[in-house]
Amino acid sequence: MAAPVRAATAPRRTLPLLGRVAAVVARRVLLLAVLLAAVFAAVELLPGDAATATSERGESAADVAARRQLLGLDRPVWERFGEWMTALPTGDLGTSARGQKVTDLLADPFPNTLLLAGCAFLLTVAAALALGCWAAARPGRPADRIIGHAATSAFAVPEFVISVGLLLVLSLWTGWLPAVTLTGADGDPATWTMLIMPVLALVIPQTGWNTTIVRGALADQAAAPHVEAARLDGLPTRRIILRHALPGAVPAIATGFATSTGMLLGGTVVVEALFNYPGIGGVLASAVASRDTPLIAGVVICGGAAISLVLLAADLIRARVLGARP
Amino acid sequence: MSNAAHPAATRDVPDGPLADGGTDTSAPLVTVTGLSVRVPGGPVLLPPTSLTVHAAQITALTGVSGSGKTTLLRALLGHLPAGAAIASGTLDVLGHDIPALAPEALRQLRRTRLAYVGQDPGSALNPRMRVRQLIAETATDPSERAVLGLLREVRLPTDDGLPDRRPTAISGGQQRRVALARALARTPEILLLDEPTAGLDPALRDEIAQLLRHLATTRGLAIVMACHDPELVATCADRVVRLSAPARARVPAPRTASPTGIPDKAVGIAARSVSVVFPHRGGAQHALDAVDFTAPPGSATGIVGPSGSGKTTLLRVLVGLHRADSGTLTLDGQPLAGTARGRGRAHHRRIQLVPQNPLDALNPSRTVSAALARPLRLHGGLARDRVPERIAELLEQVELPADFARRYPAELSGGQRQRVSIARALATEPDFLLCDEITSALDPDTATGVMELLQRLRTERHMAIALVSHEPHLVAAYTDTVHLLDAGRLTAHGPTATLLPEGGALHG
Repeated sequence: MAAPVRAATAPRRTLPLLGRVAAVVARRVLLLAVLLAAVFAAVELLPGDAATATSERGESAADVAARRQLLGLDRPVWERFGEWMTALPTGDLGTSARGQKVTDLLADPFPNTLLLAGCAFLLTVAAALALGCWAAARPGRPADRIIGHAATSAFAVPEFVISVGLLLVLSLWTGWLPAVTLTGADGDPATWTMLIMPVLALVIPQTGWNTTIVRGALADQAAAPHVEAARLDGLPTRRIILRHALPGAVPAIATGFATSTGMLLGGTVVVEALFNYPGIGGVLASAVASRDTPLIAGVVICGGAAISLVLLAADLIRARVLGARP
Repeated sequence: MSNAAHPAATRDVPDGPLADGGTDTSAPLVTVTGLSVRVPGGPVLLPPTSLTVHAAQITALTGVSGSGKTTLLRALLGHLPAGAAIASGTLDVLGHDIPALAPEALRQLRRTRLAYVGQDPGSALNPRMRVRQLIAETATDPSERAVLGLLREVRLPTDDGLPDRRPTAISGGQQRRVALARALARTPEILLLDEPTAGLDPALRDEIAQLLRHLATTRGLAIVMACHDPELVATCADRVVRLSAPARARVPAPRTASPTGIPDKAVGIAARSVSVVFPHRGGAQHALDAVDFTAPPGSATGIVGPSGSGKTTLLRVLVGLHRADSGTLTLDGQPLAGTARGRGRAHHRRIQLVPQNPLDALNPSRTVSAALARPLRLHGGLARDRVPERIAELLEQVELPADFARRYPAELSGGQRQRVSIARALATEPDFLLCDEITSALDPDTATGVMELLQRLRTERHMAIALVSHEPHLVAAYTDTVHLLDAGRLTAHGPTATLLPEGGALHG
């Protein structure tokens, strides 16, 4: 009798799902707006403004005041924020303190950063799943313990320490890779080998974090009755993990990976600076130095949109997996 | 009924080697000789048992709960409960010495020749797989035709979409048969079943019995089933092995000298014309009005009555949480103080209460081990390093895994919390366990599980149980004598069998 009832409710369940997705997106957009307001306020609170920060030696106070007026800095911050926000839906991210379009300034670095963080994300997912499953297949044995300790230590070490270590080993001692990213004529990294060290510097701590999550989620599942039954059915360990334990662990794992994207994008700022990688990390650093509010906001909105998308994907995965089990 | 067609050579074999009848021509598939299982330094899970199993025969393991039926099945499967070990005897399954078998060889054996279906097959099916995937996964022949054939063999319909459903979308009886099909898919030589008809209605039970009979005959399958149900045993078992409850030597406690040396003639805990009056809207309400109560050592006493009849108040008076306005309490003929504060530690130890709602009774911010450690340290005077060991034993006694010690109450199910609550009461090794509606928050199956547990503990520890319950059928099934209360008065008192016939309606 249960089946017809379920069949009847199934079509109704997809509609609320779409509705829920829309609601989640709306909430994220609102959150992003609040975040941007905070960015405007924070830059305002920093000492100095774009006009003084970009002033050249020997400029008179009148010149600075004139540029302040040109940049609209003489108007209150909420007015500038409102103006910037109303232009946003048209894809206009405003004009930087040096008079360039923010979209143009981000056009090259943002894809570079996406490439760096995306590669790091994919590698992290693959490595964390592989290591977590490998450890879960050998509960309590040396491999499990070594992976567990290594994962914790990797996560505990900050990116810049790992970066310095990588530079020492892969560049200074062995000379396999150049210490800084060389860019080609178009401003992108000259060869793909330039990506290796920045990606590794991001992947290592994030893999540590996610391996711990994968291992823990699998351990929870290992205690589930159907996993124990699969073991008593004499199924191979690999099949038990991949087919019986992992699907139930997916929601927790997806959430872990999604939170990683934030840390990955944050990590790029440090890593890009260390490796001189042409990404938004460098743009952000110089934008903060020159109190360039529209440029900072542009970087924040790009990063925020990327993180929101990944979080939404994780939520959808969770909804899908949990939906299969009423 | 096709069951009449086979000669049901039911035999009752007490402890000791099973004398093989001359009818068995084949070599036995399973030979168990004098096997006993225990937790080292702890309880015996399976008293010495012998058993032989031949092809095409159904062997039923019977015996009260806790007599080791499941333990024996798990020993055959090479999967003993955590912490348990084989204490004596040998175990040969399909020519393999199971305890000495390497993990990979054991896995192969389970994968190809030996199948097990546990007590709760519904939860043992992966909720994310469809029925046809579940069966194809273990099948020697995973083809569509073979899978549907297996489903038909266990009398499941294959033309109404059932193969494409997930376990959560089929009924309990269907789940059981899917689990059976999954076990049969690997064409095993031995099928181990734990309570194959638990929780099924009689019609379904007969169907399963016929099915098992049919499988044993057509496939030459040796079936070993742990079974509670005399009807099922009668209709389909070829032979019966009755396991007796392990005569469990009490775990030697450091202080055996004190109150355990009470002679059996002792009268236990008794209340004589106890009255409790609550002031109520200016007047007075008699929660208890001159009530008498007795619970001899090792007895099981029910306290039954409608809401507000004073059942809980009576327990609170007995345990000393509420002082009676008049009347006397005695323990083994000696006067018992009216309040817990006035009682000695020995009395606290001997009389323990399991409150109604375990979630309220367990501190949410303390782990199970912390909850159990306190009474151990307080009453057992246990050295600090012995405490974890004793906690593991207690959890074992209430059939919870030892690693539950690290959990918080919120991480436990209702039944598990109730078991922890019972374990906490057991920590002091009480002689009288007073249980207040301990099954009211639980579903029927879990309730039965908890009651079976109490029953087992009572026999093993010679502990008296007083059971307050709203559910007459549980009282009928698990107590010897019953006190009927109504509006604070004792209306009847006597053997459960006469006062609560058939576990049905209350005749008070």
